Amino acid sequence: MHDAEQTFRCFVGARLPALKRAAWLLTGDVHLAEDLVQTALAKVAMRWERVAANGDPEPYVRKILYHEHVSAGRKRRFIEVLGSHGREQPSGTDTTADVSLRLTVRQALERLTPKQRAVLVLRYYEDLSESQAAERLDVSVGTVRSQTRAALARLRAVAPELASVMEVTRD
Amino acid sequence: MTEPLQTALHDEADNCPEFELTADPWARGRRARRTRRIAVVVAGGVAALAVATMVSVGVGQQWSVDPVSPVEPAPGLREPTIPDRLYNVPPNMTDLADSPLGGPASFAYEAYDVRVGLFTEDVVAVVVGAHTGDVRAVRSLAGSIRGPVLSPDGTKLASGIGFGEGVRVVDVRTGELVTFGRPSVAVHQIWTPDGTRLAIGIDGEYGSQGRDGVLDIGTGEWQPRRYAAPIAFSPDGQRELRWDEDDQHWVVAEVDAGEVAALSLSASAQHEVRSGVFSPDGTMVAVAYREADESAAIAVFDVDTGESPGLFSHDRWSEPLLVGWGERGVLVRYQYIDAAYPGSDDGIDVIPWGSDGWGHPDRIVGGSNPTPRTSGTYFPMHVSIPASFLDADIRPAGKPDAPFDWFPWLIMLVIAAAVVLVVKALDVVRSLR
Repeated sequence: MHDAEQTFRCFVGARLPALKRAAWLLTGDVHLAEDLVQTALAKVAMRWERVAANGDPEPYVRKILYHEHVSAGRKRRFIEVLGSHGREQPSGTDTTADVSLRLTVRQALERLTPKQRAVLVLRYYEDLSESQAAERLDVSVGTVRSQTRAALARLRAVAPELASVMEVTRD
Repeated sequence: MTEPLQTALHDEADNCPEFELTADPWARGRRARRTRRIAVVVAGGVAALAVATMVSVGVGQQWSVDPVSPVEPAPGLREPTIPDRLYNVPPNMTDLADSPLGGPASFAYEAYDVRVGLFTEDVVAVVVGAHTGDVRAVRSLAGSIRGPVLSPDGTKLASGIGFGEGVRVVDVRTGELVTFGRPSVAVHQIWTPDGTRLAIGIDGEYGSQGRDGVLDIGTGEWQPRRYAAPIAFSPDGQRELRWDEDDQHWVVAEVDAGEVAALSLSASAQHEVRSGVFSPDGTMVAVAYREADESAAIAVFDVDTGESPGLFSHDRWSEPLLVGWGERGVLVRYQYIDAAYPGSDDGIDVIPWGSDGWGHPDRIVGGSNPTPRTSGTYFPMHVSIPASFLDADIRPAGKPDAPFDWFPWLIMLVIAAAVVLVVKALDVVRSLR
């Protein structure tokens, strides 16, 4: 096995769970999440030597992940219109209240556009600043700000039960 | 501050269902990289092929009727090796007035060396043009060239085209071509001294069109005659030397005196319409013909008395062709009968003529392996070219740039764009499925 392939496989072995979680948050669908991770990692593998030579490859991988999510969003929505497939139900042992909240969050996220969803995940899951999120998505800070505002407004509109969360989050 | 939403998202992430990657991303990525590299190489090859095609087919140089800029002769390439001034040199021709030879004269050449530019290697006729003292090809001529002859001022070249195709005149400075439909079977033509008309001999089998005639190249008017093959005009244009095929003799006629032959000059032996020239003062004519033993004979006649004061013959010459009469004598092109002169199969000699008769021929050009002179080698024969071109910078002109025509390339670009769009659309459809 070549060094490049070895380092790639080491990286994937170490960071794949985190990438899966981010993909899951972005897509809300296990098949789409797998496809997203798969595509992002394949694209990174194409130029792995250069990516690895520049230092930590994870920011680049995540950047690819988010770009793929946004650019593939329209196609995905088109397919979903043609024939929606069932959502995977997450496993785990939660309390009823937690499950209810997560379902509400998930359903609300599904109403967002890919870019709004990406911004939300970047800002509130990966805890990036507006400028960092803008850099990750290759957009301006203003775009991140407006997309965040729009995403939160939409969440409030489609899921009033999350209002308390939104209010707190606003601060 | 953002804890509630963050917590909700983290909870959602922590409850991410288990899933495995169904394909190896490394193998998939490397396969895609190989495919992309192959595509780049193929696209580069196709692009190079397209560019090469455009260059070779549409954008390259070509023979053209478009005017070409004159080619300045290289310095130091002129050398006056023909110390003669021929009788029909226009004294005031500006283009060639500074030539060491004093200007152009009717001269006969047929060049097989492509550098001269009369014929390319694949025997496509190319008109040699003169503009500023140099010789250059100005355009190619499709089909055959019959009896090409350059006008006295060196600016136009006339020739028959082929049976039934008429006569064409090319301006050797600009490449402009004018084709005349009549006579349809021109085989031999000479210019009048003023360069406005052509006396044209017609092939004998097509006598219904007359034996010869005069074509006005300005108006296209064709005046058929029933004389004989026109051979030469006197320098003042008042007299004309003809070959009477019926009676097998030479005729000197007054141009304006109808069909009355002023003098009939009998020449012995095997007659054949070859060539004849007037002396610079117009009082003598020299005619060349072939003797029964195939050797060359050149007879001089007094145009007023018909007397023949001198006969020059050469037993090793054949196919004599008189190409001019200058101050030092008659210029004759010939071929050697045998190999007595190794490496000298043909040539041009000046044969001095004076009160003492013919002098010793002085060879000026010749040999089957001609020594390169100035910038080119050449074989004199049939095409009339000003004599001064011999020492000018003889070379074929570069092919003029063809005007670029976007039309076919626009179509190709539109087709290419359509192909790209279709391929892209198919790719999108495939990815959607």
